[in-house]
Amino acid sequence: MSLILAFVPLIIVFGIFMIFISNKKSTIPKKTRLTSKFTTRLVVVYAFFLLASSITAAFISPSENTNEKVDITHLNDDLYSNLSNGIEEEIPANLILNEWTNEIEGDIFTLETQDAYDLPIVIMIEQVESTDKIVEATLYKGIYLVNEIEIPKYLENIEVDWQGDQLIVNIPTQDSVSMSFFRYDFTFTQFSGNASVDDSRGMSSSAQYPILYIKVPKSLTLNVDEERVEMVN
Amino acid sequence: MSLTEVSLFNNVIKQIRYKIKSYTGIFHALVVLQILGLFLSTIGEGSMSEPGTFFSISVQYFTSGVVVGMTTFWLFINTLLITTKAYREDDFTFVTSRLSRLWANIGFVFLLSVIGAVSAHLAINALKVYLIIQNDELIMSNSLSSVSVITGLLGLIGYFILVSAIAYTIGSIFQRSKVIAILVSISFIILGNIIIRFQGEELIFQGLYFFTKEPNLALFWLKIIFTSSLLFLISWMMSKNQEVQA
Repeated sequence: MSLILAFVPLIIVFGIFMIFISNKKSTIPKKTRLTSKFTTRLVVVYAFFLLASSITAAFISPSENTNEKVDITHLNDDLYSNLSNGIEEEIPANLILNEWTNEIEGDIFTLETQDAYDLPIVIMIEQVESTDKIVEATLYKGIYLVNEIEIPKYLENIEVDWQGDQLIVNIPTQDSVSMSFFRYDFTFTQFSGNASVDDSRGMSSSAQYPILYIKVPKSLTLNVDEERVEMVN
Repeated sequence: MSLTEVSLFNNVIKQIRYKIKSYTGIFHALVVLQILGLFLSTIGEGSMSEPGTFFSISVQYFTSGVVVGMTTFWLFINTLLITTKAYREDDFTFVTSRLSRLWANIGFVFLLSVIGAVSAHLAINALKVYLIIQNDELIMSNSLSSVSVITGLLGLIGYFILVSAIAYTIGSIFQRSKVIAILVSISFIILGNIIIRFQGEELIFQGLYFFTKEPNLALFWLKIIFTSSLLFLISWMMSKNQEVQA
């Protein structure tokens, strides 16, 4: 609505100007154009252009339901909360990107990550009661929402490699993502039940980082940067 | 001397037909402005980007507002021009009365409103086609069902009728007396500033919400008809005692 109202000052000023100009010209005999071939042809061509565009749009337009809206709050609460409390069984299997199992030869388990303060991953470590030296790692997918629309394949290229007793996490830079949104303004949606002049016109984005959940037996000593990991109770 | 009595209705229809045939420049301007609106729409309403070390995203927004705004601009200006002396003198081509002239103008601006709304609606489809071709994935923040298309169109026509009624009234006031028009304009500006200062912008927006937050189409049209009738009545009062052409 603010966009339409932005035209108001321009309209007023231009209108006043045109009134004065038009009144001044009143003494000049005004030609009455009964038919303007050029204008008629222009209007006809334009009308055909609009009709053709409308027919094309009817076939190729994506519907609002093409991109399903996701409620991140629900996802955040369930995934992060369950993992923080060690309730891994509650997590749906479709959220698992990858799983690894490795037997540690020595007594120390080392976790190496990139030295970046804004590493987009949550690393959780649960120390389990176990006499063996098998470390299990599970990578859960992250989610990035723009206006409740999920970005596909968000940070699914995280590399988790084992080098002996070291687990190395590497996050390559993902290709930049571009998105385009089209919205009908309130004049079209006012009576369709989902309209609001106060619809937020800004972008809302929210993200849930991928979670790397590592189960380490208590018999192993942890060699991790404690500022980068969350210990699961 | 003809003894045929011409009915008001027939006179009005003849005048409307005359206006459609003679004011072809209006439709020319509509095409130009809507194409300009389409061009400006492709630039986008806004954009946002979140650069990051590992992940970056850029988002562009497109809207139908520019095309609608341009059409509103076209309708407002042309309705204003219809009240001016140059166009008023054209009406004397016929044997008319001020009443038939008013009805003819109302009919003409109603027609312009319908044409403007339909063409704006179709032009937005052209915008969508262009955006879909340009962008691999265009996401619809909101889409229109078949019913929404019709109700949206009717709503847009209603808004355009209201805009043309406002323009016609402003034009009539100006034509009646420029001094009164300037005084009224200054009063509105001063009053508006006082209201904003003491009551905030909320009060002004409440006036707009009277129309824009009406979810019922029938009630909306009742409001439009009532307000437009009032405005045209004011126009009629303004033009009632204007001079006649010899």
